[in-house]
Amino acid sequence: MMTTLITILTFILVAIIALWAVWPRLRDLIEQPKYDVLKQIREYEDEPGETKPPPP
Amino acid sequence: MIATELRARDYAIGQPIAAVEHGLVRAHALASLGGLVVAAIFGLLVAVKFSLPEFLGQHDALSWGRLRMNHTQGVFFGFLGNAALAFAYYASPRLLGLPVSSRRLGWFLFFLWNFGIVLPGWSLVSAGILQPLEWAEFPPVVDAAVILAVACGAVQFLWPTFHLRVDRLYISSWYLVGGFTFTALAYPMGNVAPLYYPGSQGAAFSGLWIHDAVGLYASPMALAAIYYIIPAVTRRPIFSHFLSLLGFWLLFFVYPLNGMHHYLLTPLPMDAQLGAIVASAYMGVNVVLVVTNLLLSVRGGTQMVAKDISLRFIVTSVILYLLAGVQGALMALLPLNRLTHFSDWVVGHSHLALLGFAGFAALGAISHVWQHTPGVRYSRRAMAWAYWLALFGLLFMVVDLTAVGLIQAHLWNLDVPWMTSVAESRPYWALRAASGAMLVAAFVCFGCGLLTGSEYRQRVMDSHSLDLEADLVVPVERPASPDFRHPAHGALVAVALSCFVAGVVFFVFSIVVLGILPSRHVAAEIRDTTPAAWRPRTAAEERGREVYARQGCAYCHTQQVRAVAADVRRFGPATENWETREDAPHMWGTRRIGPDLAREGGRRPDDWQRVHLYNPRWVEPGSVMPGYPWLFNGGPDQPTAEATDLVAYLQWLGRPRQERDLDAAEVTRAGGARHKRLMGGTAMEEIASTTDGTVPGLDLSMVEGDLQAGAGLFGQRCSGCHGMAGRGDGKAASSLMPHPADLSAARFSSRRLADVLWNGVPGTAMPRFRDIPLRDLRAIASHVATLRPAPAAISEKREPARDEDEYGSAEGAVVFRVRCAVCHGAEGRGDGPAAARLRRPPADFSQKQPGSERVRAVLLHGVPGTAMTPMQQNLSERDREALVLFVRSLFEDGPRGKHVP
Repeated sequence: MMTTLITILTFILVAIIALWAVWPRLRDLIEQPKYDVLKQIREYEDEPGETKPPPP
Repeated sequence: MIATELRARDYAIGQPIAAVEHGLVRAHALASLGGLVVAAIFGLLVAVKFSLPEFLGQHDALSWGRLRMNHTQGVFFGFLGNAALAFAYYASPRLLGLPVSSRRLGWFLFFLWNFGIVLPGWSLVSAGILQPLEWAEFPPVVDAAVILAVACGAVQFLWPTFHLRVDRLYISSWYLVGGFTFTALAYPMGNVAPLYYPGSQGAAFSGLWIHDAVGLYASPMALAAIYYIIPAVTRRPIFSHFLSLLGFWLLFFVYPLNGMHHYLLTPLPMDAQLGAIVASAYMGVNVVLVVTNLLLSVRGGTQMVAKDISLRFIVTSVILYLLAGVQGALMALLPLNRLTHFSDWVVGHSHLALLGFAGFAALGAISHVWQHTPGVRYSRRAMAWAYWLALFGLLFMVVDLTAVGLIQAHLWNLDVPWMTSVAESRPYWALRAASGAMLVAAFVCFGCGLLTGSEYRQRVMDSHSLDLEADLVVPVERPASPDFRHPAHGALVAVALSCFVAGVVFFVFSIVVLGILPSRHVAAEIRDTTPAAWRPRTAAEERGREVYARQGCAYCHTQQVRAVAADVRRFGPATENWETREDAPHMWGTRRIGPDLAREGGRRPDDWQRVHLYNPRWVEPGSVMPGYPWLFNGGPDQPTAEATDLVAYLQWLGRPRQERDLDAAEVTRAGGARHKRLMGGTAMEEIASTTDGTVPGLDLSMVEGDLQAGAGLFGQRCSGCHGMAGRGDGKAASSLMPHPADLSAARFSSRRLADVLWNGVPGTAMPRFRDIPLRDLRAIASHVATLRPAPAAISEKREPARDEDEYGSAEGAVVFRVRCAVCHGAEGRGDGPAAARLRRPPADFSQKQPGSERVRAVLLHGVPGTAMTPMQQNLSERDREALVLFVRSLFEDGPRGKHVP
């Protein structure tokens, strides 16, 4: 049972990697969030409104 | 409201930033720090008790077992849980562009987590209200609070996530979603199922949870932080989002299948065990994949790693993740598992995974979060000190535990006495305590880094990293204008949603495959194999089991003899499923500091067990086991009901197996009954593991050096009962019945000494010493032979003249035949007609020559705890004196019977 399960899992894995390899647009879309989130993080970290001096 | 806002934009880029709940970030970060320091102190106390077993040993709340439970649960909930929540409050709005669901819910969750889970959990465990399940010790009432808290967390963090297109989710969000979802599924399974499924069936579920706790709770939270902080600090995107997603799904698909590798070579179905081994190898590959992606994400950022303390923690965490992941996969392989399982190697591995990987990631997250929280002070210098202390403390500890684990494994395979492995481990345990002290210092230092210092949150562009910006900041080149009509978008959404649904289904499937199906298989096997004479435990034995569980005995003593040669040689036949049919929750354990107890019943008498529980070093001078004085009313001979019940349970352990095997042995083997009488409850073990009662011959003509060694061994192994001078006045003596023999009051033949050392004395606390090399047994026997002073030096009272001697001996023979032969036999060999019915065999005077004073004393007062009654009323003084002479004349020192070289 476990062997079957792991074999199926391996097939799914291979299928996903194959899909990723043959479809450039899919690759671009998969990678898109890492750029989006970086922009977003920069917006927060560079936001001057959050900066204030420590309490005395 | 949120939904309306979201419909106005497909995702958050370019929109006004959502508010971060800085108050909740601060509160959880500080709670995490507090949880870490307290949990680490619990761990340090645990480590110190290996060297000083009686340190803080007068109250059960501070016993080794309770501290150990609070250590792991404190790390789990107090430290990692709070750190994960602090990070989630900080990062979720940044990742999603949306605030968390509710500030009010956030504060409710904060108080629930810390004042409904962590503090009550510690208090209840200290008070003995707990679940005896590894990594699930907090009692059911706290479990309910945990499930409520995870549900609140899901509402708080997952609700905003569901408003975003799944194909826009960054990997950290995936990990947060996965962490909350799978913890919500795994926690009830791991905390409830083992309470109701007995023995090996429950162990199957426990194995799932032990691994899910790391893989589905700690790892996702750590990886969420790692994937966030690397781009946040280096200010450039991670290497590959595809590899990140692949690692994410492999984690959730494969990790649940690993669970049973904690119980390899047990009676659980072998198919499931082999599947867990393959899944573990898969997991190792996945860790390599994830770590490669993460290290490539910080390529070229060495300067930033050196300068930014949070990134330093994070990168170290990634490297330690690689070590722990590969090590874990290797440990599941049978050759290594057979060798290192139950040893300190495993403890080193768990510290590498929980502290090295998850802990360092959490510290990095807190450090980063804190430095970007407005209005707080911090000190990077103190944090840097904390980093180095924590790194060296951890490496010191892991190397030390790995080394001592290998030593233990080696010694266990050599079949040397168990106490040898304990003695060899002690220097390493002392070093481990030192490394623990370094870790506590590191965490206190980290706290100083958060609470002191003159720095406060500044804009990143103005901060210390400004000079690095030009080199490291990579402009975001990708256009943020996705074409949602493109078919690849639809495919991506479909794959993501399918994976999520499949992940949940797969998790359920893992429970079916590794929990429910093996459990049904085991239940059927139990039905077929349970002996007809099986009897359930008595009420006292059942209560004793509860005491055993409450005191945490299972953390040092396993109750599973694995199908491994070294195990079978040392502890007897491998455990079968039916033996565990009533053990809910199971007490299999995962660690051996002391020996396995699955066959403990009948090995030693009750009074030995009581003394051992009261103060183990009274009967095992080198033991590191804590005493349990609170189970007694002032002394080992004054046990409370709990101690009596616990001893009853210990004497039950393995008895059903012994009874079944004895029945089988009696059918197939002549002489089984004799063994049963000779060996008490352990007869079958003797039949299986030794040559039919044959004792080794012990040559007592030893050289000086051997005699010195014998004296040393006697001091280690025998003096607790017999006293250093062998007078039967050791610390444990007054609590043992019958009292230990006064070895200075009699001469023993070499055969008698060999027989006692090899077989013990049934019905007394004298155990057999078959785990000691023959050379050492000879040395002990030689030393015992010197304890009786030479005849010339003995001032015998009323030594008779020769004529009187001969007369007395003849008269003594008549008296002996009438009064003593029924037990001791006509020739005083301890083989009279009544001997077979006595619990403790009568003395064999051909092999033991008591001194005259001793014979007189026994005739006057009897031997308490035996069938030897006082004969003052029945014998005249003249008869007694005649008996003294006759009994002493029976001694014949020389080989008689079967000896082996």
